[in-house]
Formats: sequence, C-alpha cells, structure tokens
Amino acid sequence: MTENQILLLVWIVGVAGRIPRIVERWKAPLLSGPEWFFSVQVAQDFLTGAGRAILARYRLRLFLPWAVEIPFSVALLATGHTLAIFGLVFVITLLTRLNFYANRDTAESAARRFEVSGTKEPAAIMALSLQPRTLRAYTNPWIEASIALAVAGSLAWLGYRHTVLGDWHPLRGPLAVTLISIYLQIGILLMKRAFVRARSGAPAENAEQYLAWRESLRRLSTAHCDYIRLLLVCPPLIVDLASMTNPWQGSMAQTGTLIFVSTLSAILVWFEWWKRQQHLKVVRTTKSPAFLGRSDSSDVGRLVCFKSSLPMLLLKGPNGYALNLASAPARTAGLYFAGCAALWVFLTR
Amino acid sequence: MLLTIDPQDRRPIYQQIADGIRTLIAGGQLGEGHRLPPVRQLAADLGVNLNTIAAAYRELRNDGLIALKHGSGATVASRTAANHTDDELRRPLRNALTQMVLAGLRRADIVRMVDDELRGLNTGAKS
Repeated sequence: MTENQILLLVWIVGVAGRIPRIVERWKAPLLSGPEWFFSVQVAQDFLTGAGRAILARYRLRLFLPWAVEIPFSVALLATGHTLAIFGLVFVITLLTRLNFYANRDTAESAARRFEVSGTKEPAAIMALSLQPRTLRAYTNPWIEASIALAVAGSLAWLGYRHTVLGDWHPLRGPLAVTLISIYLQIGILLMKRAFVRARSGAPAENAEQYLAWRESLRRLSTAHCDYIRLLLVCPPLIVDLASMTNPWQGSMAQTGTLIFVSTLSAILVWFEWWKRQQHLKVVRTTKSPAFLGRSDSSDVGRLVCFKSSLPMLLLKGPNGYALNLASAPARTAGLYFAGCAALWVFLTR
Repeated sequence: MLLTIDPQDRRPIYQQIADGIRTLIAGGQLGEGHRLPPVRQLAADLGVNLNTIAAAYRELRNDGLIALKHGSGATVASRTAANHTDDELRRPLRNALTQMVLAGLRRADIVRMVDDELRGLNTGAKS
C-alpha cells in the first residue's frame, strides 16, 4: 500500500463517516414527532402542503458542502496534491456544521409562518447555567494518553530513523504525514474547545430540559472530536510501520495494521452509535419553546463584523448572522489557518 | 443552578446578574468556594458585552460576596457578619422598609413580606 493509497483511504473514511450525520440531519426536522417541524408546532397536514417545499429545500441544502468538496477533491487528486486532502476534509467538516446551523435556522423561520395559532408567544426571558464549562470536564485521560503515546512513538521512530539514515530526505513522506496529523490534532482540539465554550443560553420556560439537551449535544460533539483525533493517529503509525518493514507489500505488518485500523474503527463506530442513541433519547423528549433571540448588536453587518467587546463568534444582527472577526475563536482560527499555510510551504519546499 | 435574565426588566442586565447571584448565595445554592463561570462564558451565553458581566462581578466583589483572582476566575467568598458593621447591615434593610412604608404598606403586611422572603431564603439554603 503506497502513501497515496493510505491518504485516499483516509479521505474515503472521512467522507463515509459523514453519511450517518447526513441521515440524522435529514430526519432532524421530524424528530420531535408529528405536528412538529424542528421546534415549531405546525398543523398535521403541514408536510403535505407548504411544509413539503420547506422540507425539500432544507434537505437539498444539506448536500451543499459536497458540491464544494467533490470538485475540489477530484482536482486535488488529479493534480497529485493528495496531502491537501487532509486540509480539505477539515475545512469541509467545519463548513458542513455551519451550513447545517444556517439551514436549520432558515427552515425554522420559514416554518414559523405556518405555526399553529394559539401557540405560546416566543419566550423572551433567558436562563443560563452558573456551572463553569471547562475543557477538562470533557476530557478523557485514557484517550489523551493514547493519542500522546502514539504521537510520541511516531516522532521517536522518525528520530531514530534519522539517526540511522543520517538524512531526512527518505523520511519526507512519513514526516509530512506525522506533522499534518499533529497539526490536525491541534485543530480538532481547538474545535472541541469551541464546542465547550459555545453560547448556551436557554429560554427560561423549560430551561432545565433545554440545558440538558444542550449538554447532551455538547457531550456528543466533543466525543466526535475525540474519535476523529483517535483515528488521526492511524496514518502516521501506518506510514511508520510501512517504513519499518521491507517489503511492505503483503507483509505481516500490513495485515496487522489493517486489523488494527479496522478494529479501532469498528469500536469507534459502535461508541459513536451508542452515544448518539443516548443523545437522540434526550432530543425526542425536548420540545423547547420558541426563543425570542434579540439582536446582539444593532450595527452588525451582513457577513462579517469586528466587535472586540463581544466574545461570540457568530453575532446576530438585524439582517441575520455575521462572523465576528475580533472574537477569540475567529482570531485563533485565523492563526491556525496561517500556520496551515506555513506548514504547507515547509512541507513542499 | 440557573440565573434568569428578563430583557423587559427595568434593571440593567449587569444588575440583574448581580442580584441573581446575590440571591443564590443568600439562599445557599452557591456555597463558599463555589466557582462561578468566567466572564467570557457568561457574556457569550447571554450575548452581551464582556464589560456587562465584569461590572456585575465587580459589584459582587465590592459587596464582599465573591473573590476575583486573575486567571482562576470568580469564587464565592466566605460569609461572616463580622466583615460588616452593624450599620452597613442595617442600611439596605432600612432603605427597603422606608420604601415599603412610603408605598403605604401596613406594619403587619411588611412583617409578613419580610417573613416570606426570609423563609424563601432559608428554604433555598436547606435544599
């Protein structure tokens, strides 16, 4: 198995891993049961009438990130820029989530015009938890230790190979895969921190149930980050093993690696399914009242804004949401992408 | 442990936050040493300026209810009457009673209201 084939395999796993999410988001509007469209109470015939088009538009928009990803991936593969696939998967994962939030918001707003009369007015009073949210509370020491051990092992192996060979040139491939894997680990850790710190105000009515749902979602999202980070330690280990055995093709190491990756993937898929079922139980029982979210600021632009005194990444303005470029998450993301470019330059030198 | 904020309330948001935390401390739901969320978390959850939360925390610190430490956030301070003079403790009670008398409430009503509030606080402290 060549390095390119390994990268292609990782990309396929990345794309296939998103299929369950799409299925879930496909079903999401109807999860709260009949007469509900997301959190909007609608008439029983809503989905055979006006709701049909709203639902169809919502479901079609779920595939927007793929419309970006597929041509870019094909172009990258055709031009031999296989390493860039990692970065693309990362950006598309972010885009998919943002696209879902925007899509859900649009569909809910459209459905609200058909909300059944007599439904309660949107709640204006807000409730918030006084429990501090820290990354440590969402960290599993065993997962962190496994990742640290795998990364340290990869680096140690590369160091050892370098002392034996006395030259970095033959190790360029494994080094690139290891560095990219570490960089993506950092990126996903930052994403996990953003999930922990994400805005979590609740409508005062039914607040405890709503906050329990948010906590369940937060646990699920942070667990996803951990699963992805665990999978990300595989490519460097595979490449290291490949450089250890000669010949790699058909060797015991290849079979062992295949068994290891398949077992790890199967365990993670099972854990993911189990966690998701737990989360879905909470989702089905949560029918939050509509929330009258006021604008965060009256002078927020349409797409981007610069408000250093407001810590939120997404600000709600009179014309919709805008990305707050002065917020800490936006600055961190900017630095991260700058680092990405620097790493790219370093690796392609 | 929840804090509620009402945009229709005449009090500014920082005051609502300070009053809400004050009530939770008085009711015993927030005990000594309890860590409060960082300014950034509360500001993001509420969608308000960082200074709004910082002002609420400053007011609570000035009242001796919380301790602010750079880097480790805010924690509920120990509560001892010895930290306050008798006059300091009586002043807000005197102000509240004055308002009630000016509002035309009878002595019996005032005593009943004070008793209700005190019972509410004690219930919170026990739960």
